[in-house]
Amino acid sequence: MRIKSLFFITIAILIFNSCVIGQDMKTDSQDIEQFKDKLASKVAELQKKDEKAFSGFVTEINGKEISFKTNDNETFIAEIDDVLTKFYSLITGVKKEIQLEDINKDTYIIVTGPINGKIITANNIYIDTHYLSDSGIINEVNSTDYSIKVSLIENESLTVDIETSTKKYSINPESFKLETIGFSKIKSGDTIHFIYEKTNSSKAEKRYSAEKIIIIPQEYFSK
Amino acid sequence: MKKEIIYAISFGVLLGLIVAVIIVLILRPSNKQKTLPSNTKTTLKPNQIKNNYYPLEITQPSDKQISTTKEIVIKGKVEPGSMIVIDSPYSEKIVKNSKQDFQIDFPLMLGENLISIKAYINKNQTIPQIKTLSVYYFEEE
Repeated sequence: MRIKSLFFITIAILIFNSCVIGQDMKTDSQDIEQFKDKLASKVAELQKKDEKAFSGFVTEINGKEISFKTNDNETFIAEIDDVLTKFYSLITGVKKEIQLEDINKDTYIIVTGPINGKIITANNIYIDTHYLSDSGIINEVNSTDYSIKVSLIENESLTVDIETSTKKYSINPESFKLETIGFSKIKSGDTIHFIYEKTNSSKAEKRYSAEKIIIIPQEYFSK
Repeated sequence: MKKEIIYAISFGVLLGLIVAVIIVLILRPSNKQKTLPSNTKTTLKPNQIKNNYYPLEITQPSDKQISTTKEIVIKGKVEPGSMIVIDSPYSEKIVKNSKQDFQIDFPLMLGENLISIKAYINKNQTIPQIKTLSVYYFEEE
C-alpha cells in the first residue's frame, strides 16, 4: 500500500515537473517550491513510517560487524560505519552516547538502519533492557519466599518471584479498573499476566523475577 | 453325511459364536474404567478457547515499528464484549469493548516496548487471545 503511495507520489512529481516546463514562465516559482517541499516531506514521512528496528543478544563482535540473535532465533549482522554509526545506551531510561567498546557478547541491542537480507547498515545501535511477558494460572502461592507457581498457557509451569520492586495490579471485576495490591491478595486459581527481564544467561531457568504482574481474580470468571 | 451330524456341527458353531460375543462384551472395559485416576495433587489449568469467535486482530502498529512520538494508537478488531488487557513494562490499560473495532492510545518508553494485547472474549474462558509486538520509540533527532 505504502509502496503504491510512494510510486504515485513519484509519478505525480514527474508529471507535475513536466507540466511546469510547458507552462508559462511567469508561473510563481515560490508556489512550486512549496509544493515540492510538501511532497518531499510527505515521501520522507511515509519512508519513516515503514522504518523498522531489529533487536537481539550479541553473539559475536568481529571488527566492524556485530552479529546478534533475535528472539525468533534469527541472526542478523549490523555493519558499523566509523562516521555514520552512533551508539547509545537506554538502560537508565535516558539516551546516553556510548562507544562501540561498551558493547559486549550477550548485550541486548537494538539496531536501526537500511536492511539488505540479514545485513543492516547500522545508523544507530542502542543498548537496552530486554523484557518478556507471559500469562497463566496461579497454582501455588508461597508466602515464605514470596514466589508463585504459574501454569502457563503452553502447559509449562514456572516460578515467578515477587520482589518489593514488582509492580502489582489487580483488575476490579466490576469496574475493570486496575488496583494496586499487596502479595497477600494473590490467590491460587487467579489468572496472571507478568513481565520479566530476560538476560541471555537465564536461558534454561524456569524462575524469573517479575517486573510487573496483573492479576485477574477468579471471581471475574465465576460470575 | 447324516442330517443329524450337520445339525450338530451347525449348532456347535452357533453356540461357540454366541459364547464368544458374550465374553467379548463382558471383558471390554467401560468408558469409566478407561480413564486413569488423576494425580492426587490437582493442577489448575486454563480453560481452552472454543471456536466461532472473532479472532483478535491488530491493524496498527506493526511489529518492530519505529515511532518518533511518545504515544501510539493501537487499533484492531475483537469479539464484541471482550475485555482487552494491554500491558508493557511501562504502561497498562484495561478496556471493556462493546464493539468489534477498538482504538486505544498507549504511551511508550524510550527504546523497545514489548506490548502484549490480550482479549478475554467471555467469562467462561480463562485463556485469552494474545498478540505481542515490539514497538521502538526513539526521539526525533
